[in-house]
Amino acid sequence: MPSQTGPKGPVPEGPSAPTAAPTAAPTKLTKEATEQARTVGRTTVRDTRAQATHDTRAASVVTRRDLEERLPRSAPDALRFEPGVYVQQTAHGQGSPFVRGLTGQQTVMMFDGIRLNNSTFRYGPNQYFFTIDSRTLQKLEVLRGASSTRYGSDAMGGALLATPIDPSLELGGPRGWYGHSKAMMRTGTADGEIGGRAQLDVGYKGKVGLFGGVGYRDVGLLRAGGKLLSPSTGQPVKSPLFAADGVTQRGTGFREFTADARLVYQVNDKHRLTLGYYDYRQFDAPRTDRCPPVTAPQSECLTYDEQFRTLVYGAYDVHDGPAAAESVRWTVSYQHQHERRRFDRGPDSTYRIIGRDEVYTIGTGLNIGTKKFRLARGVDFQVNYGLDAYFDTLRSHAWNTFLDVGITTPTTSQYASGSRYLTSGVWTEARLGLFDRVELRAGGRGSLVVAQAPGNLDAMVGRRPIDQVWGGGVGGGGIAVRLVDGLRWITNLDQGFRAPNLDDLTSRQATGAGQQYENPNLRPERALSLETGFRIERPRIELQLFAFQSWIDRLITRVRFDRDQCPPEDVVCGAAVYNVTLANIVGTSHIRGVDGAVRLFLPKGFGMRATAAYTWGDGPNPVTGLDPVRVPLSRIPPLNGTVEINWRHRLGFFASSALRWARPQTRLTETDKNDQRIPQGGTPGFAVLDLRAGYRLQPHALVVLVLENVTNAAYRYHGSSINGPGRGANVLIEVGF
Amino acid sequence: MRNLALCTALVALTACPAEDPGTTDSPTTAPTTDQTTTDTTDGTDGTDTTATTDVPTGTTDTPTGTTDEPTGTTDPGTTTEGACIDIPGIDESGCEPLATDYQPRENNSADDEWPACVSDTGPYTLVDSPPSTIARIVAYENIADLLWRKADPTADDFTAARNEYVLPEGLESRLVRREDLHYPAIPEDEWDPQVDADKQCTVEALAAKYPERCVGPSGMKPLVDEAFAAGQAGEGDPNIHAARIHGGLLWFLYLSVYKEANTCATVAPKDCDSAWAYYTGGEAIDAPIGMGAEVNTLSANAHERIHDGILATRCWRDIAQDMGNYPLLEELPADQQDLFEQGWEQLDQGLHRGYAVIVRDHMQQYIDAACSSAETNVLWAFLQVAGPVLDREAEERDAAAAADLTGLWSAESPAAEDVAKGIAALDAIFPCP
Repeated sequence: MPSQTGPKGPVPEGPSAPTAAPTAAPTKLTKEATEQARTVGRTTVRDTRAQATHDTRAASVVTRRDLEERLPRSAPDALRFEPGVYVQQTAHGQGSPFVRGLTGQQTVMMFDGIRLNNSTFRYGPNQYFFTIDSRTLQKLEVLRGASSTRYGSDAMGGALLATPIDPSLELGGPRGWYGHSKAMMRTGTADGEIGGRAQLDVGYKGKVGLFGGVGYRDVGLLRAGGKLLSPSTGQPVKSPLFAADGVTQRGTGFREFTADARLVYQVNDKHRLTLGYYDYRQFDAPRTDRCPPVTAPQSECLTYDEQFRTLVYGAYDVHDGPAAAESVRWTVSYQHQHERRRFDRGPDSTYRIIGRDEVYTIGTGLNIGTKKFRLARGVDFQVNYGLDAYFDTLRSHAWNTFLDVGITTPTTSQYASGSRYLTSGVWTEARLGLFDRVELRAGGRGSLVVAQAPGNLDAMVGRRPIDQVWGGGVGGGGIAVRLVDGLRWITNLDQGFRAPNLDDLTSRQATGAGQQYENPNLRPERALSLETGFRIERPRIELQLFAFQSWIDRLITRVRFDRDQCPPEDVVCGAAVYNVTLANIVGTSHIRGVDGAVRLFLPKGFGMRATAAYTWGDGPNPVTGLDPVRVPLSRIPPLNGTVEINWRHRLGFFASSALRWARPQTRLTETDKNDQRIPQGGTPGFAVLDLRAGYRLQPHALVVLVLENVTNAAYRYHGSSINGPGRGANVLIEVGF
Repeated sequence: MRNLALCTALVALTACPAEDPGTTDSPTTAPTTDQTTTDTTDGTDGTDTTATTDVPTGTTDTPTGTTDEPTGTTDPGTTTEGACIDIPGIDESGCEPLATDYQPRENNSADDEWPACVSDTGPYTLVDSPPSTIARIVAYENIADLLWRKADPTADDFTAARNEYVLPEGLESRLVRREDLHYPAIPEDEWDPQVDADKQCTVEALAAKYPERCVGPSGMKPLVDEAFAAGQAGEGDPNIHAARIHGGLLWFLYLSVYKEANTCATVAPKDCDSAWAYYTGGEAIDAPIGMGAEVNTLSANAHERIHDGILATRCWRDIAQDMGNYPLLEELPADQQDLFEQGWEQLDQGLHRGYAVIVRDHMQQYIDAACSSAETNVLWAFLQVAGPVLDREAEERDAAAAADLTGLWSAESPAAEDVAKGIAALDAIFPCP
């Protein structure tokens, strides 16, 4: 594929920028395949503007180019510059994006249309979005606000949609074969990261393509800019534990191995088959706030020995089908999530507590789109509809090993082993276009969720069996009105819901807020999300600004419970310093705020992008009758935002500066105050400046240097165990052929 | 106190003068009467005496610290037969509280020097929700059932017991960081600034440097771990391992009550609840579990006095509050700081005696076992762990008597007579709660 570099000079951004012609692309490829052929398998990714799949919603996209130039450490890290997204980290090898104030099980994660959420996603932040290898992604899309009509249970705060890189499907050489390889090496000074990936993109005559790679990285202890001071005491925050140098954070670092393969068979212009395999294996990732806990011997550590996720799926895509099914995407997937946790006290430990959980998920999803029917002059109508079903089976084990005598005994597992969980639904969403000015959207979903878990009525365990079925419907709709060219007013009203999962119903685990116990009586939580705002798409400016409010009924949140509610003989429950359980809060909780982004396309290759988000949440006091009547919701992000200024030259040079900032968050709920991750009095604000520069020699080389946190600020994203990286350099070198 | 200790340490069962309350920080004892002398033929190494030990027998109406009559002799080098010595029961009828003590059982504290408070009228009142400590004491009871309340525990019993011991946030999690507040604090300039003041013993270097203060990680943990491991591995006598675990955990409970009562004032008010729960297991005064039960079985008076001490610190916490807020000790005026010290000391005295009666009981069992030629090594294993715990306080009160006790604990298999002398010394040093 020839280079896309043009004449010397800055690269104009935006739609006025010349869109390079895919000169070597096969003529009979679909539009998507052509786009892939233009962008993939090389070091060059030259997007103009990234369009969100959900054009009439509050949404934003991280492109491949963004990923290459920002050098995020992970998929969650890649979302730090998206409006309304705030990324919390309980560990260096973990990251959990908050979308409009909700995270983890209250958001949904999709990978190429496959649901990643399973029934063990716990309340609050989790590590699972980290198990997507950002090096395999073509784009990441964030859909803000409730979206359960389309994505089912959990999509209350929003949806995180990851799209992997496809094979390029080129015509190939004289014999029809083509092949491109790429090697990339990355290193960072703040955490001693060193790693790389080897990647191959091969195909035959634009019909068959295979894209895959293997990656590895070894990440060391993370250095911060320094210790954080508690806003209320002025004293250094005690979690995490720092090494003697005062900047190296204990309980950080991990190793990671990834492998992926994506085989695409373009049957013809209309039909495509895809087989995908994505394997993520993380090793030795300590949970920072428990490595060690602030009150324990300093050798104590809870480590995720193994955090694996294997996804295998097949997809069948149809384009230009019959009117009722002009586009079809059907997926069948299998996912295995494996977790192995280890608690001990280092090499001198006399015992070790191990927990191992396996979640096996089979799933299917069908997404059909009709053609756009013209009902009348200027009136068109289009419907998407589909179904999805994901079925989990769970195995959970725990045991103690007494290292000094080599004896191992089983103990109570985190989950009820043998539990099963089904989440499923049928949905439809219709769009009505009126005179190229108004777009109406309306849809609904019928859901069925089944949870079954065996009980263990041993007094020491006291787990009740679960056999719950929840059915119900959600709906949503919206209107987008083109006020003038390039300016639209958008209003959406969508419902979200989350049925309790196996983690809520059966799990017992140590959390940041205390020892958590299951609540088998939970009911689904439901959200109604209203957003209204404007989108501007003009040659020199893109802007989106939304105000939103979510009403959440029966919000599931952690509440404290007394020890007399513990199973009678369960001394683990009784021994916990602070016991929590999940409960539906009676009444309505509110999350409201404003988020938006503006992007300017300036002359001479310059550009600027800024984001800001403000979120405010409160709900009824979980303890009825206690003052205050309403309390803050847990871990709501503070006012935060970003500013990026960039410059690009046609010769392939680029440079940018990026500022991330956040105000202090001092509105804490009771569980926040008991959470060692949150400093006494709240999390201080911060401003962190990154500088980036790079050179892209298409299609053979890419070199990127990011100087992060150039002022060496000590900072922390609210709710995190770790402070952000201190001053350091990250370097990426890619070589492609 | 010192006069009394000296007197009894010599096992000279003559009347000893009552202590002058003004010269001691412990409660007073009533004058001892009707005591006979004991021929202390040997008082050196405690093992090679061949002479009859003329300890009194039978009297129960005198303060403790004496035995009444000689009951037998001990063969050189043996401790398991031929040493029948009657040891009088525990009698604290002559003990009286200090005037400065908090006395909720006497007219609901109306007659003592303490202001009215929440503890005056009855059972312990929680500062916060029931403490997690309760579960640790339940675990202690479970371990006791598996190990030392049954004969010949199996290796599986040890494993089951150790599972209880290492439960998350359980006994082990606290034992490994337990400090003995009787010893000087770690100098503040050596503190790890990232670690709370009362958790400095979690720093390995400090634990190694200050083993007496950091007795949990440096003393208790290796002891208990080794005993569990030996029991699990089936090595040696399981009853000995069980006894050592019993001794180690009892030591932990004893120090924990004292420690939590302090941090109730200096760190977290709810630690008062932990002090209470470490002693009673969260149960009522008349039906305690854990250490409280062991003391109560042997000396109801000591048990009640300990409970009074716990109520004293809780009372102080109630007095030293500001509209539901509990300022820490350092923020309070001197008179309130003094009042806390008074209550805490009262508790300490009670604990010393309560712990001493448990030790004493095992010593007595040792003598009885020796008399009937039964095994004494299990009892001695317990005593070698539990006994030295009192050395520091004994040394403060009566160096000579303490030296005798220290010598006794270091013996491999002491003669019954020597143990009897030890009882006398113990009673002399720790006569009253």
